[in-house]
Amino acid sequence: MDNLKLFAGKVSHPNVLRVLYVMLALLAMALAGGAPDGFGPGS
Amino acid sequence: MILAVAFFGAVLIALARGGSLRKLADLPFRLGWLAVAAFGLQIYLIAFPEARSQGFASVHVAVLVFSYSLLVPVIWCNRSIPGIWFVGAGLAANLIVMVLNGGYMPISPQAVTQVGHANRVVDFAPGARVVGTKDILLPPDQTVLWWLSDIFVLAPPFPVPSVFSLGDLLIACGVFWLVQAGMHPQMSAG
Repeated sequence: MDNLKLFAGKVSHPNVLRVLYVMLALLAMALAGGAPDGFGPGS
Repeated sequence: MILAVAFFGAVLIALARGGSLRKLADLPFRLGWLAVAAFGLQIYLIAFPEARSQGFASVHVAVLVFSYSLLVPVIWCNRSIPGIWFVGAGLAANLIVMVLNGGYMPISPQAVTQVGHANRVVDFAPGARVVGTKDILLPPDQTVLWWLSDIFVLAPPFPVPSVFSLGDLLIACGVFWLVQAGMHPQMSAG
């Protein structure tokens, strides 16, 4: 439980959230703008 | 999937070159939520596809084109970030060929067979949708600007078999550049 709290504390740090947001946005931009014959992970 | 591989490959290469994910936090990327919204719309369209292209009479096509238009302000607001113009050029190339061919990305029956995705097509008649993609089957001689359509084939035994367009290639290059510049800020600073 303590480990979980520690992990949650680290992930919710503004810098970590900003990195995750930028990565998600870049990936979404690439996948939404592209049109290969597979869409995303798993296709 | 090939674009996701290109993105994560770019991240791994940047890390191997001594870059840091933390530096991405300083990348002044704006309107990212709009890109996520466009992607979300497309996930819905691909999860619930129409069997055949209905052209611009179709709500699916209207929503697909709308989702692409959502990316235009994202590109414009981030125009100072290295690599973004490649992404914009790729986006424009894909959108132009899709609009000129009824709203979906054309792919030839030969390419679908060659890459081993024939099981994704219900029938091989022109205009049939390819399940799990933004593609429709169209022979090259019926495709307007065929050279902008999905023509580059990475066939098995390539680990991620795929067919992609010139626009996809530009987007992959742009994202690669963007990730390198974002994780190595000194690269963009000169």
